[in-house]
Amino acid sequence: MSAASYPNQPNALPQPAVGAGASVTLPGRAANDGGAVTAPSRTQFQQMWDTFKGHRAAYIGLWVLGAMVVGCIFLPFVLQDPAAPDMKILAATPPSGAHLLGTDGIGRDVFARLVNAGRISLAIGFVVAIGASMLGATVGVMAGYFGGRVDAGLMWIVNVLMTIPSLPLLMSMAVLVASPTSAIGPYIKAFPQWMRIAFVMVALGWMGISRVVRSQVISLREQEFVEAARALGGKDTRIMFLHILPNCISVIAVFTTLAVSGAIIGESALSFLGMGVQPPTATWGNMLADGRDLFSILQYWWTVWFPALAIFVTVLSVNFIGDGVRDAMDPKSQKK
Amino acid sequence: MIGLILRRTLAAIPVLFVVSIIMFLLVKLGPNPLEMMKQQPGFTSKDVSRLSKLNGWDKSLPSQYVYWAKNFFTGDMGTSWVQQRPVWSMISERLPLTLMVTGASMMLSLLIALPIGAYVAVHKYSRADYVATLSTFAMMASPSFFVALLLQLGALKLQDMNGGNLVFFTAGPPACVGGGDLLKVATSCLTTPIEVFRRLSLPIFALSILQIAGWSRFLRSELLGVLNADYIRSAMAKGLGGRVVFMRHAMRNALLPLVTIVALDVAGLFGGAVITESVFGLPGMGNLLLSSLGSMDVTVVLAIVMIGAVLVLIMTTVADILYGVLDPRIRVT
Repeated sequence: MSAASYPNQPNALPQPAVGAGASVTLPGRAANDGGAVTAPSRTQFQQMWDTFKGHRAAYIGLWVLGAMVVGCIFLPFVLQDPAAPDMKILAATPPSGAHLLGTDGIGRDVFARLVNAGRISLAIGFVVAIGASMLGATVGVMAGYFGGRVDAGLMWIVNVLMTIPSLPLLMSMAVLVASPTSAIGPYIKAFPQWMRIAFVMVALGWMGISRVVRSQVISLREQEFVEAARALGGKDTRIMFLHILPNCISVIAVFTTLAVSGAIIGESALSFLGMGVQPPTATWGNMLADGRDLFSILQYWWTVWFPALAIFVTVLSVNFIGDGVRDAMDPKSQKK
Repeated sequence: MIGLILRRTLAAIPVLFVVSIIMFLLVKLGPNPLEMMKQQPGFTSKDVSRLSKLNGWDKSLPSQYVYWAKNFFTGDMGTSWVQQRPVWSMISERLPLTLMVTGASMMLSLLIALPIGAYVAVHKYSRADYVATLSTFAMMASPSFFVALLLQLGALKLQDMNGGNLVFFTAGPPACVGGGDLLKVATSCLTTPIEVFRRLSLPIFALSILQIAGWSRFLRSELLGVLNADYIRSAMAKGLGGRVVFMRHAMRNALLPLVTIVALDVAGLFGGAVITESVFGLPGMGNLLLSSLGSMDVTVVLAIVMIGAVLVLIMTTVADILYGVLDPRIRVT
C-alpha cells in the first residue's frame, strides 16, 4: 500500500483537490502511518499522472493533441496565405512537392488551409468545453448546495432544455446568430462568426455536467469539512467554489475533455448543414463539408480526406485523453 | 403506473409551453423572411405588406405567439407560409418515414450494442475487447455525415462487385411511404419488406453508429462495475449457474442506468435524422426541418420541434416505467 491511499483513516481530511496544495498534507500523513511506508511518498497529482501515463492510448493522445495545438498555433506564421490561390494552378491538384497536401478546387494550398482551420476548430473545441463546464458546474453547485426551490427551479430549466431535440435547437440558434438581419444581429456583429457558434454551443452544452455536479454536491454538502468551513464563517460562495467544487474536479475534468471532441464534431455537423462557420474562414468541418458529394471524395480525395483525418485524429486523441483522465481520477484504479 | 402517466402528462404541459416559447422566439428573432423576399426582383412593397398581413406578421410578437399557441394546443398546427398548406398534412406524409428510420435505428443499435457490450465486459482485456474499444472510439471520432457518405461509396463498390446490380440504394425512400396515414404506410411497407430493406438499411445503419458505440461502451463499464459486486460473488458461491448469475443478477443491474441513457438519446436520434435524411435524400421530418429553417417557416419548425419534444417526454416516461420493471425496489413517482 502506498503512502497516500487510505481513505478509511478515521480523521482523514477530505480528499484534497488536485494541485500544488495537495502536496503539503501528504508527507505528514505518511509519517503517521507507523513506518509501513516503503516507497517515497508522492503527491496525489503525481499518482494521477502516473496512472494517466500508464494508459498508453491516453498518453499518446496527449502528445498528438499537443503537437496539433502547437502546430496550429505556430505553423500559420511560416506557411503561405491560406486564402490566396496559387495563380499558376487555380485548380485542384494532387499532393506534390510545392503543395504538400495538394490544392483545392480554386488552387488554395490544402495544408495551409488545414492548419489555419485547425486554429478555429480547436479554438471552438476548447472555448466550448471550458465555457460549458464552467457554466454547468456553477449551475450544478448552486442547485446542489442551496437545494429547495433553487434546486427545483434550476433543474426544471435543465429538463426543459434537454427536452428539445438538440440538433434542431442548435440549428435554429446557429441561424439566429449567423444572420445580420436577425433581431440580435446588431449586438453580436462584433464577434467573429466562430465565436458566435461557440457561444451557441456553450449555451446548449452545459446541462449534462450540471446534473452530475449537482448530484455530487448533494452528498458533499453534508460532510464535515463543509460544516467546518461554515463554522469558521465561510460565506456561501466561498464554500461552494473553494471547498465543494474542487471535490467535483474529476467529473468536471472528464466532461471537459469529452466536450472538446463534442464541439469539434458538432461544428462539422453544422457545417455540413450549411449553418456552421462560413467560408472563406476555414474550419475542419467546413473543409470536410465542401466535399460532401461522392464525386469529390473519389476525384479530389485530398481535399476531403485530410480534413476528415484531422477531425478523426483530434477527436480520437481527446476521447482517449478523457478516458485516461477518468482512470487517473478514479482512486480505485490508481497505481500503487 | 396510470398515476405516473397522469402526473407526467400534467407536468409536461408547462414544459411544452416553455419549449414552444423558446423555439418561437428563436425562429422569430432570426432573419426576417420579408427582408429575404425584398431582395428578389419583381417583389413590390405591396406584396410585402400583403404577405405580412396574410400571415399576421404585422401584429406584435406576443399576440402572434398567442394566436399560434391557441391553435396549436387545440389541434391546429397552422399553415406553412411557404407552401401554403396545412402544416399537419406536410408532416403526416413525412412522419412515417422518420419514425420508421429512427425506430429501426434504435432497435438495431440495441441489438448490436448489447451483445457487444456484454461480451467485452465478460472478456475484459481480451483481444476482442481491444478491437471493440478501438472501433467504438473510431466510430465516435468520425463525423456522422462523412460516415454516411462513405457508406454510400461502399454501396457503389458493392454494385460494381455485383455485376452492376444495385444491392443497397444510396438515395430515395421506398415507394410504400408515399402518403396516407401511419397504419396504411406500415401495412404497405410490410408487403414489400425487401424493397424497404434495400432502401433504408444504409440510412438506418448510418444513424445507428453513434448509438452502437456509446451504448456498448456504457454497458461495458456498467457491467464491469456490477460484476465486481459482492452479490455476484454470493450468487456464484451459492452454486447458481454462470448464465443465471449473468442474466438475472449482473445484466439486470447493469441495464438500469442504460435505460435512462437510451431514453435520452432518442432526442439525439431525432436530431441525427436531419443529417442522415439529407445525405440519403429521404423526404422525412429532418429534411423538412432543414428547409423550413432556411425559409424561416415558423409554424413548420415549431410543429417539428414540438413533436420531437413530445417524443422525448414519452421516452423518459417509458424509461421510468421500465425502471420499475427492471428493479422492483424502485417506485418512480
